[in-house]
Amino acid sequence: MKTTSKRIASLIALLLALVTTGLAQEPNVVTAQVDRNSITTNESLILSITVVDTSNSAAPQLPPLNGFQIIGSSSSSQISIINGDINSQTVYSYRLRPTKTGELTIPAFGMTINGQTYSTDPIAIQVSPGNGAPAQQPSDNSGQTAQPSAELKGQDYFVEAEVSNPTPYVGEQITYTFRFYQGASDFFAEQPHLSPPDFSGFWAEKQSDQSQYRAQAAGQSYNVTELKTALFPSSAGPITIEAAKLTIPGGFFNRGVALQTKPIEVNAQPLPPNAPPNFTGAVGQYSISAEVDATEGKVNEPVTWRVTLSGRGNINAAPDPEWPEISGWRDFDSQATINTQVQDGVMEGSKVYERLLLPTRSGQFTIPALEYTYFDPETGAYQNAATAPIPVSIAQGDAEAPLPPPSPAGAEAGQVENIATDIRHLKPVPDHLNAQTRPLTASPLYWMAWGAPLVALGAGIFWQRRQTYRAQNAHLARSSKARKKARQALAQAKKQLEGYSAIAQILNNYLADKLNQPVAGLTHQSRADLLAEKGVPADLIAALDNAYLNAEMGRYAPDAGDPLRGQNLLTEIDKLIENLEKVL
Amino acid sequence: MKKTFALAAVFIAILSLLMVNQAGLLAKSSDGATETMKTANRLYENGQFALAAQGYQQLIDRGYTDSSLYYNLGNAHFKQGDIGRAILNYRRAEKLGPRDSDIQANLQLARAETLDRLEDTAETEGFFHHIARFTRKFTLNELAIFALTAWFALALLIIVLINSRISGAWRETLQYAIALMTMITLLGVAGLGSRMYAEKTRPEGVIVAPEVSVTSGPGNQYVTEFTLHSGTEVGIADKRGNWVLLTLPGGEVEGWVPAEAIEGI
Repeated sequence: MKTTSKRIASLIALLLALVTTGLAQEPNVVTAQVDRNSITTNESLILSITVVDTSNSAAPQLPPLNGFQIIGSSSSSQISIINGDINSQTVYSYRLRPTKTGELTIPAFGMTINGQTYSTDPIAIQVSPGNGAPAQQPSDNSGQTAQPSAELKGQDYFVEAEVSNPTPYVGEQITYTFRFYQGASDFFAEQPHLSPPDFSGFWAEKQSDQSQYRAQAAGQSYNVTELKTALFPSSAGPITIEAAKLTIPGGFFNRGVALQTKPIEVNAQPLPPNAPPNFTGAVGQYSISAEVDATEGKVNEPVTWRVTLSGRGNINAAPDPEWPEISGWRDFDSQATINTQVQDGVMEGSKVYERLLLPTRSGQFTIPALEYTYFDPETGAYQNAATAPIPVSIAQGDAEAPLPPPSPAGAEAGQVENIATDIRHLKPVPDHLNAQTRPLTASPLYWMAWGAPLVALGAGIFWQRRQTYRAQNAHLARSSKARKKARQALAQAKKQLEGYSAIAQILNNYLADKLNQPVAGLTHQSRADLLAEKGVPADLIAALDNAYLNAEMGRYAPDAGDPLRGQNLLTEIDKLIENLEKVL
Repeated sequence: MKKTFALAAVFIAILSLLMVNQAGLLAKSSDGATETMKTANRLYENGQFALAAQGYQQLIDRGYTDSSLYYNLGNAHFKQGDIGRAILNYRRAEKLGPRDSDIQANLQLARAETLDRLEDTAETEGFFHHIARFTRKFTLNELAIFALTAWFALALLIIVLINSRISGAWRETLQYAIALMTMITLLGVAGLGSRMYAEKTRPEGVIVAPEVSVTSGPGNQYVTEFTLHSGTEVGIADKRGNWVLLTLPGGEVEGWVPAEAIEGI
């Protein structure tokens, strides 16, 4: 009992050292170790191969083990996230039984991970002869061995369950072991199905790994499958662990079978009454250590205080240490990173607290020792663990306003973390694939379009100018339209065969427009005067008078009805107006 | 007033004619191109990146110039580890879809994988630099349409001012509008001009060879000045036969590389 626990303790220490140093230094990617270096032929040893940070989960290929027989194997993986760094490790455990005595060696062997080969160190084992036949059963940490009773003799399969300690203290770990014995020659069409008890009254931590080995029981050879669960009684008094049920589905060759274990009575004892005042309920074996990331700092620059509580026991439920008030400092709560593992059915691990401490003034400070009181069920006494005080010197910082409180480390929980960066995904197929090859600027049409506003602007300005000019010179407008009007009137007269009667009217209108005079005011004399004034030659004035006379005469002449004459006269008038247009 | 409306109608007609000119080219996409792209996408999703890249390249060779094609081709090259062609195609996609955040994200990621670190020392200040930076958010065609539309609007406003008899507060508003539109037009013209100038005088390229020696002259007999690696974006200053004169950002360092080691954007 004593040696066993010592062995386990040393193993834990080793594993812890592995876990903690693995973070700090270049990690040993593959390591092999044994739980002890000297055994008898009656005993077996555990070879643990630890693979750190493995992305491919292929089990290691063991080298030929001369002098050993592998009687069982199991594996457990563990992933921990500390400050966003993901660490994973897998422990492959092999139970080895020596087949001969003397100096035996587990040879070094290599393992290739991500293209790199790592190798382990060879391990020397001293094997001395044991007394009697080698034990078929692996020695359990509780020292108890499963001895199926004689009544099971001849059965193909049976189940049993046991606890490592039926009278634990409240909060002390006991191990519940379930074993399934299977006749060596049997095979099942389907996987047996286990309904474990619900462990009410306990805090239960199920182990993921199951171990398998062969055992002799009642004269028959069995394959044994073993499942362990760590239990922590949550209150004092008798607690019953219900039966575990295993059903084997019927196959083509065999009938279905339902097996169940006997219920187990556990009587949890209350903790002794002489508890120290600062005891908060931790049961197990614990140690506590503390460190800071810098022993020198500046005002308002945070210092990280890392406190590690480690040991055996229900580390998940272990109460936090009492955080002291440090005068001159502000501190920020943190969440702990919990790292647990189960070794031989015993739960152990560490809880790492990272607290941000913010010095508010300069000077020499001491971060005080932290005390942690726990109940050790092995000695049955309350124990104390404490950290060492840490001196810190704080210099005057830059004269800045105090920093806003940094977000505590715990705030990282729930935050989305970018594990890997990849390119964004494909675009879906669009309805239309663009097939334009030339840019718009390469098209002459585009550049011609730039001219359009210029043309429009020019036309607009010109039109506006003309409008303004016309408005200012109304008579000019009248004069310029006179010829057009006269022509239209003449054309009209020709069409209607009016002849003479229209001629005087047309001429009158034309001259009035040109001379900017009222039509009624144009008498024979005033007309001649105005035309002479405008510089119209005398012969043209005479021709005009003549035209008036002809028109007058023609109206009353006997051949007034002859349309041809009238038409000729109209043509003559047209010519006359054309001539007048040149001078007016 | 009636004439002003008529003028506006003519303007709109000209603008839409230009648009239709473009849209006419869009109508080409009925010859199984979308099917080809779908197949290429499926190949990509099955991890057959080389085959997917072939599919996209085929469509591009057939004259399709969609930004999503170049983007997907860039992805396919990226997944094959060809950072040079990935960047080349992301840049081509960026030119066609300058406001697409996916393209920007992947371009940034691909650039982080390149081996050459170059400092761009050239023109980080100045009016034209800012204009050029702003215009990078638009395609050449968008800039062209924008400048032309602003110019049309400005002309229209001036014509309204000259030819209508509005007066008082309305006239003042119109004058302010013209001043504003003049500024917008000038900005549009400056943006279009600087982009066209840049594309004409400073074409860019991407190194697609894994590693290339940059020599002092167009030929192997010249001194190797330095080496560049796949994915580096450079300016193309000259082409002589089978050799290309490239300039590094800043424009001061230049050298010759074989034409097959570089591709123009």
